[in-house]
Amino acid sequence: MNTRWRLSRHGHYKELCALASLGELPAGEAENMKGHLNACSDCREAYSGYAGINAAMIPEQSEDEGIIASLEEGSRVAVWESIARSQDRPVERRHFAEPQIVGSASRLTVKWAAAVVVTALGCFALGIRYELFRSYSSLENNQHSTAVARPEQQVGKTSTDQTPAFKQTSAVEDRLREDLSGERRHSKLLEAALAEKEKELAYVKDHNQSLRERITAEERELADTKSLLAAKSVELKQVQDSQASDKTTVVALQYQVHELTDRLNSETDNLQRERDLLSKGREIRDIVGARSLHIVDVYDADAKGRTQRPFARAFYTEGKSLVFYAYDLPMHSGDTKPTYVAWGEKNGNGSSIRSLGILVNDDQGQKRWSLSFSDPKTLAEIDSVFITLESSGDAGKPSGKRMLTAYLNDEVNHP
Amino acid sequence: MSDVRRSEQTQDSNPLRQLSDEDLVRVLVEGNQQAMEVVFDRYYRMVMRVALRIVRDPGEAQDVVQVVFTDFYRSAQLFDVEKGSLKAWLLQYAYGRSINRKQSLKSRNFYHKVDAESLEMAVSKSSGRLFNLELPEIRMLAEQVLATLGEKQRNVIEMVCFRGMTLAETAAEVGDSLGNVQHTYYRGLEKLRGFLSVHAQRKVLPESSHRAVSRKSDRVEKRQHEHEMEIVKARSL
Repeated sequence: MNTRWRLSRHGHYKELCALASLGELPAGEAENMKGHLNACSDCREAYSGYAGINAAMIPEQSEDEGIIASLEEGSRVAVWESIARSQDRPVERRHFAEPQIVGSASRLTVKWAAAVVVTALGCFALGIRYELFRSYSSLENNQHSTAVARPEQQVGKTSTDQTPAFKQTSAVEDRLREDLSGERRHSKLLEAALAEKEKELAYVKDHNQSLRERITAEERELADTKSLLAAKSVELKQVQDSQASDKTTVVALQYQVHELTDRLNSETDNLQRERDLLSKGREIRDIVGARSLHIVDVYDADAKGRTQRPFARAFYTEGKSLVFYAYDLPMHSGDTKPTYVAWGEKNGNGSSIRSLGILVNDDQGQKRWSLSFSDPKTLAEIDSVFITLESSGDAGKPSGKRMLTAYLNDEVNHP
Repeated sequence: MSDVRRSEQTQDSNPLRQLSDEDLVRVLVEGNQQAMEVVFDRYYRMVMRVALRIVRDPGEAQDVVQVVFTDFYRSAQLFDVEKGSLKAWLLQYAYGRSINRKQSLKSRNFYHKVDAESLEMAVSKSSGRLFNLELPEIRMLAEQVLATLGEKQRNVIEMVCFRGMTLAETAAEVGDSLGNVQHTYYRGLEKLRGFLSVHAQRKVLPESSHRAVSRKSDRVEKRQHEHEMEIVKARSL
């Protein structure tokens, strides 16, 4: 159990080693790991192996090549500065890839500084040669008396000694001159590129300026449009408000019109009634005030001489009008209502019977039937009026039983 | 273009660029600081690529690059060709520093960053040689082993190692929990390590090839020494 637990625990640490090799060790496990790794060589080997495999499997090309290239010069400078700090002295960098200095003016300064250095080196080398030559010459002079052969030997020796060093210096000078001419050509290219970029920049600035002006003009137009829109909105609101109030007014007026129309109709009805009443009143006045008015009350009697219920009253104005009222006439119901028809007759002659019209039940409360007849010609041809009950209306000749016969030739009631 | 022209010029004019990594390190240890420039030019991209891939931030990656090359400069005398090539040494060192930095950035809010660095120190007691194999060999063998893994392990390893995804991103991509993906990754990586270890143990160099290698390195060393003397004399003038 213990062994199994230890093995599974060891497996857990190895898994942590795999995660640590990716930098994905869970929080809080570092102390544990450190303690275990101090004691377990197997896990140390495993960790190194995992890290090595991860490192080896990183592809040699990545999508970040652009970023890598852009960071190169900065990294180079940082490394050199770090090395210099660690050594506490400036580091010699007389070499072949100068750090990128921002700005063409600074680059040019570096180029000229390099040229000055080369020239100084050349002069120094020449000066050394001269000094050497002088020193050997003075040595030759000093030793001339003592050993004749020696100067030649010494000169020869000096020449022999000088040649390799001189060659080295020349080689260095040549290399530096090549560098300088290369830097000069590079500088010319950079200046041409700079001029191109400046032209481009000027064009872009002009373009920017014209775009800004366009934007300003568009903004002004937009502001004008906005204010016009605001004004129109206010106007629209006013129109809408006015329309709303007009609608209200229209509704009120319509209501008023309706009311007035009702009143007019009512007044018209009243007026018509008044006219009717007036007409009736005139008729009544004509009747009542007529000089030759006959008012005849008529009763029917049965065979035994008893007076029957229906009775009539006739108002006859000679040669003008006849108003015949009949009361308590028997009422009939059914689909075909019979009608009471008034007839005029002269001297009891059946052939002189004239129809005067149908009686109208104008007052059901009083059970009154009435007829108005105002044809003077017909009135002149009759001297009695009677009514009959006709089943088919006014057929031209009476077919029903005669009732309520009123004689009109009696003396006038009102002289 | 100017950088290419400039590098061409430097290529032509700096004899140090023709040296092998071992000779370059030896020249550097002897005091020629221009050798450091050559080392930087040669391996900057590799180191930055590793750092950028792991810490995922250009500023942090630049810091890692600075630390790697500065530490290398300070400890160049400890470099031993028997333990591996300079390229492998820088690669592993850059990887380790990047992981340190990443872990430190992650744990910045929780505990002191020394905890992350102490992990690296604990591991430094190991042998330092990666399976006795060169980097291209490791890569090739790893790809062969990947083909034999289960689909899940292969996908996870490819996403993490080749595409540079984190385990959390991988878990989201495959639709699995982080814990499962962590375990899958560990299993796949352990298989790779096991295979490479076995392969490294089987790989034994014959003695004759050892002698040829040492003779060649002697000749190169002598030529280089003569060349260096000429340069030193020219500089002193």
